[in-house]
Amino acid sequence: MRIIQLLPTLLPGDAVSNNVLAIADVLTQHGFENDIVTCNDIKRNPQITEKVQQIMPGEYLRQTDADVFIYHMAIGSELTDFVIDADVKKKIMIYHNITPAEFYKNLPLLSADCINGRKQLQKLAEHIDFGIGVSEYNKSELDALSYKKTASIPLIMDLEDYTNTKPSRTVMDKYTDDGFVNILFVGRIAPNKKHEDVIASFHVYNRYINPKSRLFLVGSYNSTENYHYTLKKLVDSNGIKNVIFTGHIPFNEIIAYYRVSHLFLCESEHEGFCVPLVEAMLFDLPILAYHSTAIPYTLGNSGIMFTEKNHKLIAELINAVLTNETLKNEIVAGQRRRLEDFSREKIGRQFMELFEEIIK
Amino acid sequence: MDFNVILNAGCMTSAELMRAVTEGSAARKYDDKELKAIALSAARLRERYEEVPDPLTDAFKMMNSSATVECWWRFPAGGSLITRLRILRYKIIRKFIFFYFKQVFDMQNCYNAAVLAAMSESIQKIHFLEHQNIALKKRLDILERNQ
Repeated sequence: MRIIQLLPTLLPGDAVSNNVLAIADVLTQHGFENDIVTCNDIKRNPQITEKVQQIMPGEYLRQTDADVFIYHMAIGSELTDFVIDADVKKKIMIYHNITPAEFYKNLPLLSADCINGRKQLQKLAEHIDFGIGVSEYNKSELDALSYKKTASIPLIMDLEDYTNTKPSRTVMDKYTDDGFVNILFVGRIAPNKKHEDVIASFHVYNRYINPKSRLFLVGSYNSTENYHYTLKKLVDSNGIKNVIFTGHIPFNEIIAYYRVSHLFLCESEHEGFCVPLVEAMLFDLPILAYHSTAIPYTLGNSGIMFTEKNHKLIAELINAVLTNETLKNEIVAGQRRRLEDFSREKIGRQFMELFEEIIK
Repeated sequence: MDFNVILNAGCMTSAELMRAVTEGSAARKYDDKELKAIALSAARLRERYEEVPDPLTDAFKMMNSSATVECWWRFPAGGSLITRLRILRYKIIRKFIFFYFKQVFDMQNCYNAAVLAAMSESIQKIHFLEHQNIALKKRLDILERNQ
């Protein structure tokens, strides 16, 4: 049995790509021959395959003798038509979610990608044998589109990568033990993640409760430069202090920012899973998050969620958590228990059980 | 929707935490006007994003608008009798020496056009290299992680 995972671009470090690599690993461990095909270029991945595919995806796919396709859907791409037309025994889709276009109304190119993606998602419904959502939220979207069979399996994450990587010395030396409270949000600078709300809540906390505080906004603004620039203008025009946009940074610096921070604040209004929440759990950062989309699913019974964006009350909530050691410890303990549900072995096992059931 | 918290902890219920938050908020002297202003600023972001200024492009636009040197420039109208006589004198002298300085102006404008073209190519190249740099940085990060 040969399995091919398909996705538009493989970029290790990206949540979808990491999931693809982890699944490839799990499949190989269980003796399944598998490969990865990307749209823009066929990358040789030294971790899992020795073959170099130098031909266009269409030709490769026409020549292949694959039995199963696993299509990773996070954005529209030309691979959708290949998947639809392909003659393979089983077509599985792993749905990571597509941001609704209304979040990108001020970024027309990205908005068009989202609209296109949603149309393709609808089109795929009758061609996919099994749709897997990486959260219950994603699964519910597939159910609403009448996918034949659906299930929910979280992303397979290699959490050891985080603990084995040495944090950046530069960041650690700069921000450790200087008497400042560091609040962190990690995520692409993208409109659905509502960085402006995180900034507003932080500003109230910094201005009225604790001037010795910082906000780290860790994430790339590649292709959302206008949104990033507007956020910076928001900060400058309102005299908001101590907001640091890191931009795209290496992995060891991301680890360092987690290690020097004291709290994770998320006010995102659309997430398919939200890997940074799991990362925050791993680094024992108490999580405060806005109750939306897949966030309750990922947090489970851990962390603290709030239901409205009242910046004054969010600032007070931050203070309540950081000044109450017992509460903070209980939140972190709850998060550690939740983290066990995302262990690679556990999710890998869940995935293989489902996969073997699908291909029977 | 009202502001509520969802907490699962043994030491405190959601209601108790909510009480602590509202009591804390009531005890602090918040400037409601300022809070409203910041909330409004954040909300306004949804309507429109600013174009990222590119100093190079802006400088190029300024160059472009003043690149052509006019050899037959306009004199200001009106003024006192002496000013108008002075302007008349300039106009007469200009007519006589126009045949000479037109070549100088043409050479200058030729040069300016060439500089503009070179600047335009350079700016395009810079933008291309900037994008390439970003892509290379990402690639380097991946390679470093895979080491």
